[in-house]
Amino acid sequence: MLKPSGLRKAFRIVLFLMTCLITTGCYTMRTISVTTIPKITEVIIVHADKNSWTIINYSVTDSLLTGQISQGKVNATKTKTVHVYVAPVSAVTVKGSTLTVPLLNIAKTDCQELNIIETLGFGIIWVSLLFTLTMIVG
Amino acid sequence: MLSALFLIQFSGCRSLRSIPLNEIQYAEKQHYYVHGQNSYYQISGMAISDGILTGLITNPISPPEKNKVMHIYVAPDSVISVRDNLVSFPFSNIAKAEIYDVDEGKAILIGAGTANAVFWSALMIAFMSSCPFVYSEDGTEINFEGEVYSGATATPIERDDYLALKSISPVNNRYNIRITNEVHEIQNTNLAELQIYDHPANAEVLVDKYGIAHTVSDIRQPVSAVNAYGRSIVSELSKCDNARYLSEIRNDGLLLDTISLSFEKPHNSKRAKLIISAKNTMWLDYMFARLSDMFGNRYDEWIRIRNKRSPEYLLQWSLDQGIPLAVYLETASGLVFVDYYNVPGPVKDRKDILQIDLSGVTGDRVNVRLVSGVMFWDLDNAAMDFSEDASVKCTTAAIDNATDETGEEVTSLLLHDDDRYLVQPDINNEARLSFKVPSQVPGTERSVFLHSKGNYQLVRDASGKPDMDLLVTMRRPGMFIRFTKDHFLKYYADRN
Repeated sequence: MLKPSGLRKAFRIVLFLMTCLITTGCYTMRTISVTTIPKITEVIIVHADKNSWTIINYSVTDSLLTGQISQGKVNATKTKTVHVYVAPVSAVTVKGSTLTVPLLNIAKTDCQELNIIETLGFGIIWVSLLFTLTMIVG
Repeated sequence: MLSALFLIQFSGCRSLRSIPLNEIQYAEKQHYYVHGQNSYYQISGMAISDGILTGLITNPISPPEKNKVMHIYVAPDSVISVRDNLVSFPFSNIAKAEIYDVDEGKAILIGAGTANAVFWSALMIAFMSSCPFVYSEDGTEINFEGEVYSGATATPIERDDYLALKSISPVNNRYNIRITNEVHEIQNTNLAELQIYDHPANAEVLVDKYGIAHTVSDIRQPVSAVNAYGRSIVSELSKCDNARYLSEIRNDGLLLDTISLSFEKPHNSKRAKLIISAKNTMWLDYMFARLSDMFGNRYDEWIRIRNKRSPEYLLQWSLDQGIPLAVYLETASGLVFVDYYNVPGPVKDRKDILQIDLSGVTGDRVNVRLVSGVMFWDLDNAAMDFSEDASVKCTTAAIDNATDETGEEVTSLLLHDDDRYLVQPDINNEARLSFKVPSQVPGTERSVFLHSKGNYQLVRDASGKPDMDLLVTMRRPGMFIRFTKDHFLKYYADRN
């Protein structure tokens, strides 16, 4: 089934771009304890009510999470970023650029990790789709 | 079917999504999981009043549906109050709320993947010329058992079939099976009955194409097995496993694939039972359908002519074209044609057995050759058994009740080998057959076989002028194999 070469070229570009998009992988959110934040973590995003703060150079002691509020945009990959959910918002203390939260007020800590099974599964689905489309368009 | 698959897939595509806290009371959920740092409650009947969220503790027997669930994360633990069955905490101490939502990206990709799988399945079915599918019930599941009377593509070659129903179990003292049409064929079933064998526990029962039951208790694997090009295929054929043998394709004049098997022969053995586990290839089905299409607008005429041919003519044509798996035996006077295995269908492996007379065999080896058209058969195992057949008790169970997919009684059509047929002309035609279970001989094991008889006709949407020049050549032995091999090589060359 031959098509005009221009159409085929455009089709290949679309396939290439979609493949790039999908090969970034599938990530799932995993709930962890604030005391077991992975060592590779570079950034913690603290959420409380409608507010959020991005902190770096963090430390976790027996009772407190402390970190420096980032002033600019921080480039960290999904797997190096942890989300912390705090309540009530009054539990978050900001002094200058230092943020402190009692560990008792952290209700949830989430980190993102690559889901290998999903990534492979979707990869296989994607390859089979590409195969079918290639067969049809030629 | 497509929508059902989509529904199934989409239901598994839900993932947790955070919602703004001020949307909690509007989310219309029925079941709430309240997570503290060291505590956890399931509540329902949630209400928010004066800044306090309250709910009734519940312990559902089965997990609630995901779309009715919300997870609420509260800190610190000390604010969660539990009195009797009531849980309450200040709304301001909710740090996060999550609900299950359809992951659209995932759903679209899985949906597309499912559609893709359906597309290929439909394509496969469109080219498939199989035969009736048989399912059995075991009380909890309906299991696919195999296909019956494969290759009986014209009325003169209607044949008996003996299919092992490996998964069947009595349900309310009845054996229940289903015969379905799932491909583009008109399927005519003349007879259906069960043959129930009670046999020693250490023996397996297999019924050959003549309806004779044999027991297998001393199975031996081949000491050597080579294909037509001399390559050893022992590892492929020695066990019923994932290792299989499909013909090697080379760009040469070879049309028949010959598998040479050698077995150690016990002293004084006069008979052997050759057992294979195999199916025919989808390629064979596809190419037979292509051949049928070449008759174009004269397809119906071809069908009429075929139905007037003698069984011997049609069978000889089939053997000449390498469709059945022919068995040859090496004897003192040379290679002798012994018998052939009927095509088992392309969907599921089937064990088949043929008894071989060894009186002409000298020496301590039995050497046999399995011969078929290149790429027509897909073999998993070939083995031999030299044991004497054990004593078995066979009970034949006639149909007690049979209905078609509309609920109409069809029992009388299937009770006898006569000129009355259960005709299943459309995809999704289904007959449900029920048999009374006879009492079992104590201390024996039981094997159940479906004895059926019938024929089928491929339904093709052929049009245009027939390619008579090519079709006439198909009368010559091996020409169908030549046609299929050329087709394969051309397809392969085009793709590379």
